[in-house]
Amino acid sequence: MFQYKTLQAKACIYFASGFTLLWVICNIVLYYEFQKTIWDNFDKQMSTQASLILNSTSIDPRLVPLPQSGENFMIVYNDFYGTSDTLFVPPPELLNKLQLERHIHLEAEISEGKLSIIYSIPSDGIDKSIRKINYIFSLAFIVEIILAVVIGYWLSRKLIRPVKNVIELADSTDLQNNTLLLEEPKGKDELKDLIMSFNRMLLRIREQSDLQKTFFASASHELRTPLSIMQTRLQILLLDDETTAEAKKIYEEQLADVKRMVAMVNDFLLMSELQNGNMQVNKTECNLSDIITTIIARNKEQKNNRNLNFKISFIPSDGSFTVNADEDKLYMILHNLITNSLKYSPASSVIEILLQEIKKNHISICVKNDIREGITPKISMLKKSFYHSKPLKGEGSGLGLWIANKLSEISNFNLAVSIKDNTFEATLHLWNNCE
Amino acid sequence: MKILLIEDEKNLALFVEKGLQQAGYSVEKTNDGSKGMEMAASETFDLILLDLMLPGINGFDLLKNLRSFVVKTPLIIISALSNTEHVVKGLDLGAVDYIKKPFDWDELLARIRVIQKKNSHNSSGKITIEDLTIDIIGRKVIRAEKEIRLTAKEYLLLEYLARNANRIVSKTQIMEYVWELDFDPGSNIVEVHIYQLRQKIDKGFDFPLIETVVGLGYILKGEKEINR
Repeated sequence: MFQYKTLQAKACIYFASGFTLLWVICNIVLYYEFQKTIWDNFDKQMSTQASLILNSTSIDPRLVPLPQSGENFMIVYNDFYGTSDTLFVPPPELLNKLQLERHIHLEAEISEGKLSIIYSIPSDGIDKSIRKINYIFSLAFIVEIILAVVIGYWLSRKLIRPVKNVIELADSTDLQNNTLLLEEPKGKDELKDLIMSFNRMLLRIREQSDLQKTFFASASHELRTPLSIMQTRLQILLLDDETTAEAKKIYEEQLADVKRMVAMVNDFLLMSELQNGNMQVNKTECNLSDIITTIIARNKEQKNNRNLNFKISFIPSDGSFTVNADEDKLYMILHNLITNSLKYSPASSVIEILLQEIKKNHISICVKNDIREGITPKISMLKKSFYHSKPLKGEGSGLGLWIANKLSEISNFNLAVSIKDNTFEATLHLWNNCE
Repeated sequence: MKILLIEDEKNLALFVEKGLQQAGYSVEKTNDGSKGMEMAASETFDLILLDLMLPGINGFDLLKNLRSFVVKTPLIIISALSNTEHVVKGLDLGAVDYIKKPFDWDELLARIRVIQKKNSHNSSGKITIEDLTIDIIGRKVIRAEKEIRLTAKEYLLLEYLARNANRIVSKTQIMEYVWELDFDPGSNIVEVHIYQLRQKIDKGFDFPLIETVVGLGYILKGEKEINR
């Protein structure tokens, strides 16, 4: 049996069941009363006729009325001495019928003793009437069930409609776009209380959301600004001709440290934003090839230092490789995948990037690389935060794949990672739901 | 090039000013948003570098006000606020670029040079091949009087083919010019972009301009004319 999960369906079923049960009980009582009345009337009729026959019967002279059409009776006379004499007995087949059919038994005292009669008439008409009543009640039952369901459905819809309105409005609530509060109904019932409570809750949530946004903006500014100062200062000093070679060496190391700190601050801020569910998605048309080649160009130094190369393939070559997505988040996801491949590939190896148009509006990007010696990542741990398969000296916060995975979820993409034969593969599936 | 720097962090402003001067630019700076707006509206600058979190006036409001006063000076936002919504808002309000703090110095200089290049040409530079015209400065492409919209890479690819019109250019040369990278020979990124470019430049027109030379590369053929 299927389960009804909605309140409306439950209300409809409860109403229909209750109504039907009540109806059935009433109808059963009614039916038996009808039947009893009909048979009682029939018996009265027989009793009257039997009395008439007894009144018309006499012993001396012996006089017995003959049965009318359909009548069937037997009259017996008992005197005061206990002697019994059958005054009238029907033929054997009718006598048998008399005993089997519905009959009455009457007695009358007379001056000579006692007369008793067993009397019956055909009840076919009554049986027919009772069958007719059965049909009517059965039909009424079917009609009642249909009516109960229809009325139940209508009533439950009317009652649940205000609740459904609240649900629809709640579903459409988007704190990022300052959704309006629910309109309070005029009545003073529980529904009004529900909507007022909901509106108060919305206001509290919106307040918290605004506070969080302000916090992230402030934290972002307060953490990034001093780092920006340090980074710019060091870069300018390195370009200054007056800076000595020894000082330049120190500044270069400091700059590398600052850049690492910048990356970690970015990762932590992003992680906090993701955990608080504070992220907005702003979609624009994104060219995947441009994003990937920009990331590679920005990491050219690392690529060249480790003598790595990229093989970028598009399948099919006449496919469409643009998606409607939040470019910032897509960039961060691909940046994490590609910088991971630069970190964890063996030197002088080739990193493969395969863009495939699997079908219309479904594109996959696969970043594949061999794993450098000494790194033994556990596939089940890769998407967990702060996991380093083997901490590379000073590199990364361990949040890269975790962040990439969370951003994929927010963007309704799917990120799958696998390791086979010492080859790491990260595949991002993108669905192009253009609005 | 004269640059106006509006940045409230004094130390950062000092070093940015120093770095820009070392790179040969003339710089004026202020750490006050209102003052910065006054300077931008009353003096002539070639570029404005604007921080968003300013005391007194919000950077977005400042930008909005400048544009409403019809101050058309190119403006780059430099900010620690890095959400997509901030970037989109800044660009929508009229900034030509948005750099997130902390930024790479070389990247800032590169973006300034792009704007400088656009500003420094007094007359338009055009390359015409048959019925195709490429406006180098405005980055506009027109064929048979129909404007064609290209992505950044498609434009670079077309410009490279056009500059080397009637000469075969190899895949490697294209990769180095367009992407400034060398990819593994197994990559088909050039083929894909040539295909996409052909769909826009050749498809639907009387004759194709881009041809494949098997085993060697590609060639854009036609009578060439350069206007400076």
